[in-house]
Amino acid sequence: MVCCILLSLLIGSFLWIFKFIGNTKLQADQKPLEWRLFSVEPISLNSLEEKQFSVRARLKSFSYAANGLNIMLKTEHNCWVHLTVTILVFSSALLLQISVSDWRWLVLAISIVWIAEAINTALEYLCDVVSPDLNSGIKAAKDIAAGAVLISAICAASLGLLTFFPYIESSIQNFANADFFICKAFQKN
Amino acid sequence: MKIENTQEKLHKVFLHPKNRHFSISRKQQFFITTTYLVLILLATACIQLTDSLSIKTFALGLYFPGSGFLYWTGYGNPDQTLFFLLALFTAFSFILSLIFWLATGNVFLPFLIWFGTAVSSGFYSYLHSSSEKTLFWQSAELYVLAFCLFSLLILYVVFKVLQFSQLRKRKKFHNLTTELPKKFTLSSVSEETINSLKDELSLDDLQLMRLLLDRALQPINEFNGFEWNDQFQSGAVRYQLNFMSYALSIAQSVHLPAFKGYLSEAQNNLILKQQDYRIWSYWKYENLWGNFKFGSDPIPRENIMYTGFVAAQISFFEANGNSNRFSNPHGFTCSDNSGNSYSYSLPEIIELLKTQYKSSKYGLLACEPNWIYPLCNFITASAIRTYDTTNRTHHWEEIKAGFKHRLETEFIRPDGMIIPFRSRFLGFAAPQIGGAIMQSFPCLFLNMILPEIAERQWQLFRHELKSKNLKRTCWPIDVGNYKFSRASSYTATAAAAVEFGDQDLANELMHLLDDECPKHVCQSVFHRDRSSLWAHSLELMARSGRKDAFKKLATIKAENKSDPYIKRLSYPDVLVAKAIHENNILSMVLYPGKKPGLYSVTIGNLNPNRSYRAFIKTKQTLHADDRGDATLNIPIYDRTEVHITPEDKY
Repeated sequence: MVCCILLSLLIGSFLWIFKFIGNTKLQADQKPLEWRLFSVEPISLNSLEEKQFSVRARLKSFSYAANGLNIMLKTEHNCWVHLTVTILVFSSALLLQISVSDWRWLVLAISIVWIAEAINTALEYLCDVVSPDLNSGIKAAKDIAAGAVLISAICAASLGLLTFFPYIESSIQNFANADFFICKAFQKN
Repeated sequence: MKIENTQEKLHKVFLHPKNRHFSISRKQQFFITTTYLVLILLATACIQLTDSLSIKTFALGLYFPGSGFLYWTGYGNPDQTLFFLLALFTAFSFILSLIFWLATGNVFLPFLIWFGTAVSSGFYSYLHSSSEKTLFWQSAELYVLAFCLFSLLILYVVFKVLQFSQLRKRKKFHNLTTELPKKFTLSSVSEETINSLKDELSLDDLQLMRLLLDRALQPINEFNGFEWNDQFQSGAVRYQLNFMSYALSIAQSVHLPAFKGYLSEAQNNLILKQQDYRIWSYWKYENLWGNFKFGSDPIPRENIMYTGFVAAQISFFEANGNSNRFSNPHGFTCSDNSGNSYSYSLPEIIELLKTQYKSSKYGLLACEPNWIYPLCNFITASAIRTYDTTNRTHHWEEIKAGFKHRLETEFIRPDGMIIPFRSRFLGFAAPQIGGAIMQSFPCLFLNMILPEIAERQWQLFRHELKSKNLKRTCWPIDVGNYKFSRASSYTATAAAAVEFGDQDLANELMHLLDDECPKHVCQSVFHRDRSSLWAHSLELMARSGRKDAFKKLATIKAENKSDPYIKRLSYPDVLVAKAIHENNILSMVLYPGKKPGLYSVTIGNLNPNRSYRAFIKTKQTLHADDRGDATLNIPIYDRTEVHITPEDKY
């Protein structure tokens, strides 16, 4: 119905505007008035020990993790490549109907690349804060971390190849056999 | 306290005789009502003259938002309820869109809903024109027309009743004025109370000031500790920056005229923060959907909620003898994300504001497109007046008469209440919402530009308050962050009360604030539960203000440019409770900010190569260098008084 579509658009525009307004928040700080320019007083060990288990705090830790991943995905171009490859690997695995035991290798391969990339990104951020200017030591640290990502990527690629190889091989064989039978059928006719 | 004679008081108290007639707004209201009646007439003619169902439905949709759907609510229609709900929902959306118009200046949305749903209902009829006649409500137009005319009549009657009661109230108030001055002792503060008020800030005040300084002294592009809500209405960050700066300016003006250092830097930073695109990016949307113009430059057209407020920030900053960098060409530059830069100086902004005031039909300028708020105009006008005082110009004199006349005749009701805001487009004013704050707080800034009207309005407010519970008159929503708390109402009214010397009311409000929003001191910084940053700024205004402090800032030029002052000290190691230069003596009161110790304080503007004596607990001699600076090491363990005088005085 035209009118319903129009009204949905109107409501949508309201919601979009409110969402837009919500997105203008720069700080997700819940209690901004507790922010201090100079946090001079160290946190006592006793207060750390006395911390009680809280479901809210646990849920909040998930939100921090999600925020970290979000930052990584938004800022690191390598992550976009990882994401594309991850989607391709998952799609191929579903297409080739690989076994549960082989899925384990794929999950491991994908995970090690993401973990290495996350640690590398975190290290880069930290290095940029510690030394915003050029520093040979910081450069070496960053390069080594990038090397770790490369190793994990090679490792993951090897695991992927080893896992997929039998399936790809059998698929090719099936395909060839199918071609062979089709050709025979044509010859008969 | 000097009691003014009755005749003088009567002159001040009487309301302007012409404010019984809102001339311009009445004309606009008449124009809008007539336009609506013509629209109804045309729609009725369309319905009567045409056989086309789609045109009939469209025309019915013009009566009021959603009414077109009522055509499809005939008894035989199985979707009768759905169409009825659709009509209700459209009407509800229209009300929401009006609120949205008020909140963001989006004038486009109400029209879109009204005409969009009329068109869509017409189009639906066009697609289903072959339906059976039993599906239609044959006499819908008759009932809808009757409903519209009846609603108009009811609104007119309500309007007249309100006007009558306002006029009666006005008469009552004028009759009461004959019993002056007993009934209207304006300043409830006694002479003793005034004398007992110290001219230095207390440790509590300093801890509250630290809350603002902490935020102001962080890097310019960082906004830690600010409350990020929407950027359109009162919770916007720009207002937090404005009022933090005003509070620091008034503290400097009253208690710390001889202290620049980090206090000056903080105000400077707060002005620079206003240049951040995130602060003023809202304008490109408001300009588009409110003024139908592309462009994000926030300065040249109205938008006084940014322009006027920033101008006030800079004017107060410069009035206290701080840097005049913002008066230099390109002193204030706003750059957007597309690489466009808009540069202005304070004189240019003031000139632009004056020009707009001169050509404004209502005498006052709109903040949101088409919405005129007197409070925003008072702040803008106070910027112009303060600028005039500092620079010996006469912009305010040029616009004062028109501003005053229109304020009295268009923005103050017959019973003397200040109208919260009026629609320039519709001519209608909002009802009295917001409680006491909407009457008390504007008086604070009105006192800077039109003190005689401000005093009258304050008396009216106090008179109204007599018969009411103070707590209940304060709105339970903090306008600084939209949370449920009376903090902003208490602090805003207290700040205004202090400006009028009404210390008893201010104290009562501060007690209520203490009860409702308990304070916490964390790392030597003070903050309150359930109180916005905006309300904290107003609290500092109330705590550090004095009678007519704002008025003096706007009208008396500070002649302290060549006086010695505290030029540099480290923050937050040393807090300054008082810094005044009088009779050739620079007096200061210092507190340790973090821990007691020996701290160096640099004094500037001394006579070069001259010796001075510092009286702390022991005498110290200090020598000014070639630039007139001298550094003094002061042991600060607790409250420490320091006096510096030229050595040859002794």
